Amino acid sequence: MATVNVTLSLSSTDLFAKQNLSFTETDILAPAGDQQLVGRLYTTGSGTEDGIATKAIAGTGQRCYVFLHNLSTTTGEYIKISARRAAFGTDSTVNDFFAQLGPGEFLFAPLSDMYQLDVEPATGNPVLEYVLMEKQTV
Amino acid sequence: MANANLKATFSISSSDLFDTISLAKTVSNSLTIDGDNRQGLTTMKTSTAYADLNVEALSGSSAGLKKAYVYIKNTDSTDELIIADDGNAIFMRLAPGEFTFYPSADNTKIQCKSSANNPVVEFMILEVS
Repeated sequence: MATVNVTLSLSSTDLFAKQNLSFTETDILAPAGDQQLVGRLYTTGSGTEDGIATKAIAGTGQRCYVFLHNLSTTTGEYIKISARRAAFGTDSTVNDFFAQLGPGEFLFAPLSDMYQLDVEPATGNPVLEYVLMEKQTV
Repeated sequence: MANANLKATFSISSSDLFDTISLAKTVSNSLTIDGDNRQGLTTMKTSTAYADLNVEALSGSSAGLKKAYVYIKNTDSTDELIIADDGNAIFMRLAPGEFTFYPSADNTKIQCKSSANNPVVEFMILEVS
């Protein structure tokens, strides 16, 4: 079983007038699924959902750790992230997205309850780098 | 409310996820917080029924609509936290000790419940206009 170290740091001096924000979280992940991916995707364009997983996300709860990073630096080129819940080979429901990455933004999440993770740009063809680590085998 | 800046940095590394490559990546971003709902670090005891994490509906109209930067951590050592969108569709399960940071979008609320018992969720929500 592999070991993956993750660290998140968040800080701000002007979010609140009376309080500064600064903290760090760390975790040691142990993904054991039969699908571990790292890649770079040139998104097809608005109106087309590109899937990241190469096969259906499996295991109890269909769980996977996901890191996504929108490499675009162009204003407006944000990427919508949606869950494909019905079946691996079909597009997710229109507007069934739960996150969006603006240019330069990233996310890290232990996602679940989906067969596939779809990405669709609002405009242009922003490049997405990703790591998808399935948590459990079937 | 004046705009604020949130610095976010994330690192991921592994020497044994793949046989042929090692993984080591750090990304940083400076995020502008300009929405009207700015919830700092909060802890809340959960139950097996959904509770909203946001205190008012997410309503921003900029890119992606209803956007907010969201941090959530499961502080429990036993039970899971289940995260769902405003249509009760589950998209995330936080095992004990796990955390997430993501830009939520297209949902007026973020719901959380436990798999069992009453684990404590730690969270922060910073809305974008």
